[in-house]
Amino acid sequence: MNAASPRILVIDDEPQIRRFLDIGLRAEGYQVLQAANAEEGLALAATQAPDLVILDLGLPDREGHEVLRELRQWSRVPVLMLSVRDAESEKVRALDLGANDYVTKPFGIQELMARLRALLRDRLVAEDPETAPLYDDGRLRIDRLRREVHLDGVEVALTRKEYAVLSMLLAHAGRVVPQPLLLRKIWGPTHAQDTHYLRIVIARLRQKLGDDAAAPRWLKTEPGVGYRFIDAPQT
Amino acid sequence: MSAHASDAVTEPLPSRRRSGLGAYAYATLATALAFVLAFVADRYLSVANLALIFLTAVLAVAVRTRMRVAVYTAVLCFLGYNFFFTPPRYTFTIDSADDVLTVGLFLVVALVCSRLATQLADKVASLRAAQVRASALLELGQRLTADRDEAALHAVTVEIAARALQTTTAVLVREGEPSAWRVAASAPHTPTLNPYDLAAADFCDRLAAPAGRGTQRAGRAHAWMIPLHADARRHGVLALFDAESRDLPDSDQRHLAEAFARTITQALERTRLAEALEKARVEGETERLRNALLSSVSHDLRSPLVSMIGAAGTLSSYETQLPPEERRQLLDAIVEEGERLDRYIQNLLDMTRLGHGELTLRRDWIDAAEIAAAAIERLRRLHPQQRIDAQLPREPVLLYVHPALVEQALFNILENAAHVSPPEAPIHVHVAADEDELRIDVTDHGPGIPEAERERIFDTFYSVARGDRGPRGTGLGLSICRGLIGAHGGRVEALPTAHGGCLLRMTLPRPEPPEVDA
Repeated sequence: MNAASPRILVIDDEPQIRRFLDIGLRAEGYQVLQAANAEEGLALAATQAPDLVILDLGLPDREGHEVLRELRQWSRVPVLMLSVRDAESEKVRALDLGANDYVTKPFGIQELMARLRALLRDRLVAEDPETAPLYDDGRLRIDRLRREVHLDGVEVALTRKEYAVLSMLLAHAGRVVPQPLLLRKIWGPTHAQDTHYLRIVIARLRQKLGDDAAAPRWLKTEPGVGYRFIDAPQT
Repeated sequence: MSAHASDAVTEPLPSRRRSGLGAYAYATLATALAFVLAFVADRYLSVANLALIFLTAVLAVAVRTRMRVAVYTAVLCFLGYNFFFTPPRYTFTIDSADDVLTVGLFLVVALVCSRLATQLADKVASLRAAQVRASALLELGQRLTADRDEAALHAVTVEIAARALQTTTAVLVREGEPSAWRVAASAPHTPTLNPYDLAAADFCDRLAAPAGRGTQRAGRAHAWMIPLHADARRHGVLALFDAESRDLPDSDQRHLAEAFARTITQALERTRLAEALEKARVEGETERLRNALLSSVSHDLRSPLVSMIGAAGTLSSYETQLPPEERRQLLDAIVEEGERLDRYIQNLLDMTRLGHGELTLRRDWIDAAEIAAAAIERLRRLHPQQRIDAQLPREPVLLYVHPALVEQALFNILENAAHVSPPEAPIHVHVAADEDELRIDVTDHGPGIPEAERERIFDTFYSVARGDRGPRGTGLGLSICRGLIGAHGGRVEALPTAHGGCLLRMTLPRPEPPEVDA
C-alpha cells in the first residue's frame, strides 16, 4: 500500500456500509480506517490524522452534529457527511458546522468517489480557496482581480449581487455552498432566511450565462441545501 | 343555512291574561267609565237602553280578563244600574215590574256574555300560543338539521328556546363525575349553577324526570330541568332559569320546553349516529387501504428484493463460470433494483405521511425552473436513455412551496411518463406561468389513458390495484403526486393529447411576488 495515498476514515455504525466503502475505497487506492461509533471515530481522527472523514449523521452513541462540532475544534480535515433524503435542514446545519460536503443515502459509489476527489483536490491545491484569482475553462472566464466575467469572449454585465454569488460559488468550486451561508455573506446576517433573493440571482445568472437549470454546465442546484459551481464537466 | 328561518317566526308566548288585582282595578275602572257614560246618556235614553252601556263594559272586561273578574263586573254594574238608574233612584228597590225584568235580564245576559267572551278569548290565546309553539319548533327543527356538531345544536336550541320561553334557558351537560355539570350553552344570559341546581340536574338526569324549582326534587334550585334522553343515551338536561321564582313554570312553558327537549334530543342523537357511521366508514376505508397497501408492499418491495437476491446469489455461486457480459448484467440488475426499492420506500413513506395528516409543509421560496430541473435530473440518472425535451420559462417564477415535495410529485409524473413511453419518443416538459398560476405539463407518447380512467389513475385504490404488476410501475406515485400538490393548494389532472399520448398537468398557485434585492 502506497504511503502517499490519502487515508480516509469511515465513521458509520452499519458494518455492511463500512464493508462496501472499505472495498470501494481501497479499489480506488485509498487507505481506509474504520470506526463503528462516535467515540472510536474521534479517537482515530485524533491519533491517525486522516486526510478525509466520511461521517454518518445517525450514529448510535452521539449525534453526528455533535461529533462534527467536536472534530472542528481541533481539526480542519475535510468531512463528507452521509445523510438521508428529506433531511435538508439537517444537511444545511451540518454544512454550517463545518462539514465540507454530503451525499444522500442511498448513494452510488461513483457519486461518492467524485465528491471525495473534489474535496481532496481542494486540500492539495490550497488550504484557502479564496486565493485562485482567475478561472477560465475556455468558455467562461472569471477574473476575480478585475471583477470581470466573460462568456465566449464577450463581457457579461453582472450586478454586484450576481457577481458576489458567482464569485463565492467559484471560491468553493466543486463543493456545495449552503444557501444560508450565501445569504449571510452576501446580503448580511439579517437576510439568512430570504431565500427568494438567492433564487432570483441564480435564475438571472443562469440567464446571463446561458446555463440550463435542467442540464447545468456551471451552476448546479443542490435541492434544499444550496448551490455548487461545476468547475469540470462531471463524468 | 339557517337564515331563512327568520327571527320573526318566533314570538314570545302571548302574555297571560290578567287576573289578580290589576284585573279587578281594570274592571272597576271600566265600570266607572260605563257609569259616567250612563249618567250622560241618561238625559237622552230610556232606563232600559242604558243597560246596553253596562253590557258593553262587561264584555270589554270579559274578553281581556278571567271569568271571575267578568262576573265581578257584571254584579257591580247590576248593583249600580239598580241603585242609580232604576226608579226609585238611589235605592235598591225597584218600582215597576218592567224594570225588574230589565235588571234581572241584564244580569243574566251579562253573565252569559262574559262566559262566552272569556271562552272565546281563551281559545284565541291558546291558538296563538299553539301557533307560536309550532313555529318555534319548526324553526328549531329547521336549524337543527342545518347544524351538524353538538356545540352548534346546543347553541341554536338555547337561542330559540330562550326567545320563545322568555326566560334564561341553558343546556347542561355532565362532565364525568356526578354533580360535575357544565353549562354547554345558554341564552340570553349565562347562569351560575348553585349546589341546588347541580343537585336538580343530577336528579333530572338520574331519574329521567323533571326536577328543580316547583318539583319535589331539589325544589330550591333556580331552574326547572327536564332530561335530554334518547333511550339509554343521556345528552344532558334542558334548564329553564328564573332568578326570582321558585315555582313551576306554567303549563305553556313546560309543554313548549318538553317539545324543545324532544327535538334537540333527536338532533343530538342523529349527530351521534352520523358520527358513528362516519367513523365506521373511515375505519372501513382505512382497513381497505391498509390491506391494499400491505398487498402492494408485499409485491412491490419483494419483487426488487427477489431480483437482487437472485442476481447476487447467482454471482456468488457461479462467478467464475459466467462470461463478463453476464456478470455485468447481474451487477447492474442489483443496482437498478436497489434503486427501485428505494423509490418505493420513499413513496410509501410519503403515503403514510399524507394519510396520517402528518405532512408538514416546510415552505421556502424556490424558482419553478429549479424544481423542474431537479426532477428531470433525477429521471435522467434513472433512465439515461430516455429523451426529455424541457422548456423552462426564461424569467424566474418564484413559488412558495415545500421544494422537495413538489419535486417528488413532478418526479412521480415523469417516472410514470417514462414508464409508458417508448425510449426513442421524448417526454415533453413544459413549464409556463401566468400571473396567478404555474403550470407544468408533462406529455408522453405512450398509449394514453381512456377517458373513463383519467380520473381514476389518481385514486389510491386504483393505483394500488394496478400497482406494479408491470416490470417498472410507479405504484402509488400518481395518487401521492395529487396528495402532495393538493397539500400546496394546487391540482393535478390528466388530459388527452392530439397525438394519443397523455398529458399530465400540474397547477400551482403563484404567491404575491416578494421584494427582491438582486
